[in-house]
Amino acid sequence: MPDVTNFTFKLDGRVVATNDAIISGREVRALGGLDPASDYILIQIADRTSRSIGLEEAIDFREMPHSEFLSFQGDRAFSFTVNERGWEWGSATISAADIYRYASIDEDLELILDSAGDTVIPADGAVTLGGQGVERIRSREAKTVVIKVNGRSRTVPRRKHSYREIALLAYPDANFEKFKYTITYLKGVHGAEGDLVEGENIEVKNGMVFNVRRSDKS
Amino acid sequence: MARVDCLTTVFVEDIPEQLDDGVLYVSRQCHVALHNCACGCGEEVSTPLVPTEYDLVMEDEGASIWPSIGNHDFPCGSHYIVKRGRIHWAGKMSREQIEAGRAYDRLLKRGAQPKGLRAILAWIKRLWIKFIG
Repeated sequence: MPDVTNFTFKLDGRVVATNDAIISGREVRALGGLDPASDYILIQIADRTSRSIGLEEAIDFREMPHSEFLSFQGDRAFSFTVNERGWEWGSATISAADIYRYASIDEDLELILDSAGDTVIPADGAVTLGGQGVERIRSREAKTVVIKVNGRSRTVPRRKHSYREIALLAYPDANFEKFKYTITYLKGVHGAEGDLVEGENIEVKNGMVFNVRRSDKS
Repeated sequence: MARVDCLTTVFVEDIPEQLDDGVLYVSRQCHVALHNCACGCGEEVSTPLVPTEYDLVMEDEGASIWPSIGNHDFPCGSHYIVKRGRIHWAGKMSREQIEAGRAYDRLLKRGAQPKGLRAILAWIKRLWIKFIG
């Protein structure tokens, strides 16, 4: 007997199979065990956009194979834009992590909230969608990066940093006449690792690790 | 602040801004361990856990760090070994010993890596300098 299950989709990360090419939003919810179906908002993730799927709305898997859905308990969808593309979401907040992921935004870019005067949305933050008007979110080349210096997070401008600048992040009262600072780095641009000595500069990136050890100058 | 004779190891992702005495903070993600100098002087000691710097081995009794902690530039001049969470106080190193250790560090970082018999000889020499001088 041939396999009659021809179509699969993802609901909240789980793979669900169906042999119907066209099913309703209600059936998607039911196949995912969301009961009663009307208690849930169903969001379909598409190419750098997302939309709310109504209960009676038809989904054609021939047009959209490998569809991905997210469910939210509630009865309201929230609209916003990411890089000028329309989005809908089932909760009054969306995490920056979800925006990066579902909008396929490079992690080196930063997210900006247009309505709040280009406020940067922290990578571990969230956006509230329940307010007045439609939130407009954009991604842009980050002006700052977060690096680790002796195990502590430090936000620095995105540019080349000198040996002395890195040493000062670890020891704000660094004395370059008296002491020598041994600086090693890991997880740099293109996986760069090594050590940084007086007179050298290095490009920094998010998550780059610097360790600074002080010793006296010989 | 008092001198401590052992270090309790705490694994963290981010190292706190202020350290407690007698605690060795280890961040595997950041490849570093930090502690306040065991003599109680309040200076922060950074031991980067990368091949050219320090090695940290965790055992039931506590962490061991190698090579020794030589805070020659701190006013206290402390020198000790951390082994299974305990502080083993070592003598102050002479200027020649400190310089020999640093020359070896520089060789590791920038020079050609010694290979074969030369590497073994360098290692024996380093041990010799550390313990016997």
